[in-house]
Amino acid sequence: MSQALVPTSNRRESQLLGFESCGRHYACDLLWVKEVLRSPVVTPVNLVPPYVRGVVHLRGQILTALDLEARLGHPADEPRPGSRCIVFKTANDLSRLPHPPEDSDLADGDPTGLLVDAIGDILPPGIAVLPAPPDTLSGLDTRFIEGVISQGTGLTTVLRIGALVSMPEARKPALA
Amino acid sequence: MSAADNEMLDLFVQESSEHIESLETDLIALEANPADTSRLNSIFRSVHSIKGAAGFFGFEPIVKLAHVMESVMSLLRDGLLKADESMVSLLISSSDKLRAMLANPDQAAEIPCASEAAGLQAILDGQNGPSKPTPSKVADSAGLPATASASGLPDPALEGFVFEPADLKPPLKHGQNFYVLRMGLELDIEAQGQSVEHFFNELKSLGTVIDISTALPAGVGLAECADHDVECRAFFTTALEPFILSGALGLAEDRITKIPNDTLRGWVKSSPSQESVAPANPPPPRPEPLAEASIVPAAKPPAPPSPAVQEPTPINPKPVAAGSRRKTEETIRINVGLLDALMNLAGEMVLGRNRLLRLAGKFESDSDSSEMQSVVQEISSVTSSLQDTIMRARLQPVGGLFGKFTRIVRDLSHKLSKEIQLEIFGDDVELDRTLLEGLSDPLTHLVRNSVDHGIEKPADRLAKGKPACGLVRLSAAHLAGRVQIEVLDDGGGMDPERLKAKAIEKGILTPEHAARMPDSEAFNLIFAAGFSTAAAVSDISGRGVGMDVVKTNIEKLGGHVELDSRLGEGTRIIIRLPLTLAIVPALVVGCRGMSYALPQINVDEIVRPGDEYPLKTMGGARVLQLRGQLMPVVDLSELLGYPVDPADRRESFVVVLRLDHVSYGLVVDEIVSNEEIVVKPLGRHLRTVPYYSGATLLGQGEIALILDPASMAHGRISAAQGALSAAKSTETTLADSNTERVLLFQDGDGELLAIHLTKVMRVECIDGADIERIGTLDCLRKNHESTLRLVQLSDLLPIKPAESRPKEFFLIVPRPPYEGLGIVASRIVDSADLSPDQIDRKTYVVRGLQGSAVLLERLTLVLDFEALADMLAEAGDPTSLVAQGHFLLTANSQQHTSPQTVKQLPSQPTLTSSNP
Repeated sequence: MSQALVPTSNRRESQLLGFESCGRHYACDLLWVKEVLRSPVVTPVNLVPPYVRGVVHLRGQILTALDLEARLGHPADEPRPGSRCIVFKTANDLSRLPHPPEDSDLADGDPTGLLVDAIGDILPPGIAVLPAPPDTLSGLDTRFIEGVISQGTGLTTVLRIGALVSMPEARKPALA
Repeated sequence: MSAADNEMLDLFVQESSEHIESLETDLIALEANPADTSRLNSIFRSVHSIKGAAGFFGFEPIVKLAHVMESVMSLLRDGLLKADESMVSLLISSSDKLRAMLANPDQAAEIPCASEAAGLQAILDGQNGPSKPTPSKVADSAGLPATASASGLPDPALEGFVFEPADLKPPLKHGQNFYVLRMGLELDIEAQGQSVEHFFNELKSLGTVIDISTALPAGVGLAECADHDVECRAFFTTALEPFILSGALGLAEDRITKIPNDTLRGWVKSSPSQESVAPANPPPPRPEPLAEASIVPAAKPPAPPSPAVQEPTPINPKPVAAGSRRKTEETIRINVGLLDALMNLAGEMVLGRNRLLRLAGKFESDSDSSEMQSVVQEISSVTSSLQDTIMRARLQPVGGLFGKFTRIVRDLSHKLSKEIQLEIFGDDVELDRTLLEGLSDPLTHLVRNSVDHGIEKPADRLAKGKPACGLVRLSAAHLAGRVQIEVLDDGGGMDPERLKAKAIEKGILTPEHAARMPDSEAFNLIFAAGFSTAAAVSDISGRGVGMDVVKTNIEKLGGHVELDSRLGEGTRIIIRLPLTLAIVPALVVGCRGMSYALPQINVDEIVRPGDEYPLKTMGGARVLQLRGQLMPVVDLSELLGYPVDPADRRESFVVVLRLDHVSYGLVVDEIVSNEEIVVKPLGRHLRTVPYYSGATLLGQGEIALILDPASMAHGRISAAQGALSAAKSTETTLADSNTERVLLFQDGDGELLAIHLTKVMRVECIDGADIERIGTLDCLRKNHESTLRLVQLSDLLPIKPAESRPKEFFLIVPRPPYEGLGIVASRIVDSADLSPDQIDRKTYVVRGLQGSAVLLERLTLVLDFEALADMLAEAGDPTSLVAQGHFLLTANSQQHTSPQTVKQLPSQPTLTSSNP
């Protein structure tokens, strides 16, 4: 909360990867990113939470493809992106990094990815990240949002990948 | 403890356990042949390695026990003792204690081993005592290694030094003083601003250094040696008095121990020749408390009663005998996870290769395509062998598992006062390590059974005209891409009549059924739950929970167990296992355009609902009426949350899934294929759905989710069964009659043939275009996974050969263990009920046929499948064809386990409706 009082306090130490989904700009910590798949073939899976789009075959492993817009609580009527898939590092991959991201303990043991429209630029370290606006203004689920970067004309939302790939809901009794 | 230390400790425990394994085997072999020097050496090395490694870690109790064992072994090795049974028993029980200690090295002191240690010590004392002058004299004069060496040294403080009497004579003659100097290289030398080199130069200028010995304090591992001081001891002779020496070297006086000249003089005189005194191995303890006690306090109890416990482990142990450089050095330890990852990547390469092959095919018309083709071919073959090699890397020889049975058989036979010889064959056959682990318990049970119940007492055996010594044979072999493990004994065998009587008594079998049951099936009764024929429950085996558990465990591994016995001659148990667990056979089904895999082990049969097998709705639950039984049914599309449209119920197929106690039907849209799949884990978001147990990749790289039959049944089946139970009681009696179901088929326009459905696993429909006839003797791969060998019955039986076949025809695939065969049939005619009395066994007596019967108003020849299989094995293989087809119906291999509830395949509708 103290951050809210100091406007430009939070400066990112590591690089960010920018990407686009449904015309919105996002960014995530580059340390989390393992690779980007072009035109992934998503096999839909029944009975899963709505933010899970399906599974993707990733070199002999089964990758869970998440739908960013559904995860953030955006209405389901827009066409969903699917031309790129950002593959995040698994817990095993992250443990080998000399300086893993803070939320690396939330990583899954099996590969997880995020379906997006396009990959953008890599944002340099040290860029100023503003605290996220209140829920009411953005309409976003702030659990997954670390902050916002104001760049040129638009805003880029910086995502918390750890929260995005983790599943606190699992502790609740599963839906019948 | 640091992570590196923990790693080293793990390594130590692992290695030492391996040493103990080989120790045990060697000891038992030694008992049979006490003069086997190579065994003796190997035992000695094993004990020595354990002791050495335990010393690094400071596990005193282990070192202590290993030391006495080693001492005894060294006497045995030097021929001063002869191994007898009691001694071997003592050594074995000591090795057991060592094993127990190693299981938890930190608490090793809590394992009582006093009796073993005392027993071994008694052997040593008996050997070194004055009552046996010859060996003790040898020990005194020659400085026998190990035990005898204590008396071979002039002074206990001198242990660890190598010197000869000749070294001592000149200084003795000059009346010089002898000292043992102890200095911590850091504490005593470097701390005073001297360099080690300088110190030793100074030492040499003051007198003569006879020998130097360097050691780490006890309890310090190599990993920590940098943090600990290295202790150096020097056997030194000089004319100087102790206090002068102390001043000259800057060493505290308590670091200098004077050895009385008289002691040395006496020793030199008693050594008649130039024989050298080897350093004690292991050396006896030093009398004075160690100066390093303050550094490693835990490892220093007061002077122990038994020898050589506190000995610091030499940094530079003597090179071991050349023989100890074992083949293990050609191996490295590797993380199983890494192997799995490699396996994954190789599988990936295979997929990529397949795509490349397809692409390369497109360019065939190009001018430079031949070069392209050759490169692709090369990549293709390298990829295949890469996958093969990585697969092999996960395999381990069964020898390790078999090895432990020498011990079990020995102990049991002693206990039961039987004479039993264990023969082991094929211990180099390799299996996936997970399989090996899973095989251990069932195999132990089988071997115990053989020893306890199989082999008779020596007197009984002699009375029956058999050799007094019974035989248990464990063998492993590769057979048609599977591994066959056999446990054979030449004991009493089993009496099928007694088994049947017992089964009737236990209510497993009805008397009528028993009368009809052939002997070969009666043996399978012992796999029924709660069946035990042992007259009395012994503490070794016979609690009645045996064989059914064996069977369940082996089937869990994807294996198959079979039993054959001849009364009075012995019993043979055959276990067949796949090479690896990572691949499971599965039935791939389709539902709303998506593919799902069902584990084949749960699939009982596939039914096409229709007039004969109608799907009904009873009180809200859906049921399938199957041969007089009502079976609860679950609709896969409904279960997966697709909207239910009662008007558009496709209900093409019902897969009957069998769980432990219930069977239920799963309605699916289509049957896709029968595949061997590799199970892949799902991510955490997908694990929330209980119906999915994993995912797999099908041929073209598409993903199919693996369904879990148990959780699909959960909560649904019980409801459906409640509604069923009332109706069930009246209808079930229908099915039970005195007949067996047979499948009627024809090849060409020849005779009508019948095969018992209990022998049939599935019927496949084959497209004639997919079949090639190659040579006369080979089997070809189907779907690049399994081999199907095609059998034309006209080659084996005196029947009319088929002149022509339609474009599509059928293959009847028998149950394991013959599932690699396919009987060619051009037409599946029908199925019928056949009672054993109907078979005319006199008119048509031919090997391979049970006889003839009149079925469907035609004369039908009833096949004797066992005889056919034998004939095939004898004849080699007259015809081989490769088949690539889709199967029409399937049944599970578990069926023949419970003979009274044998389920049959559906008859007409399933077959004819799919018949092209």
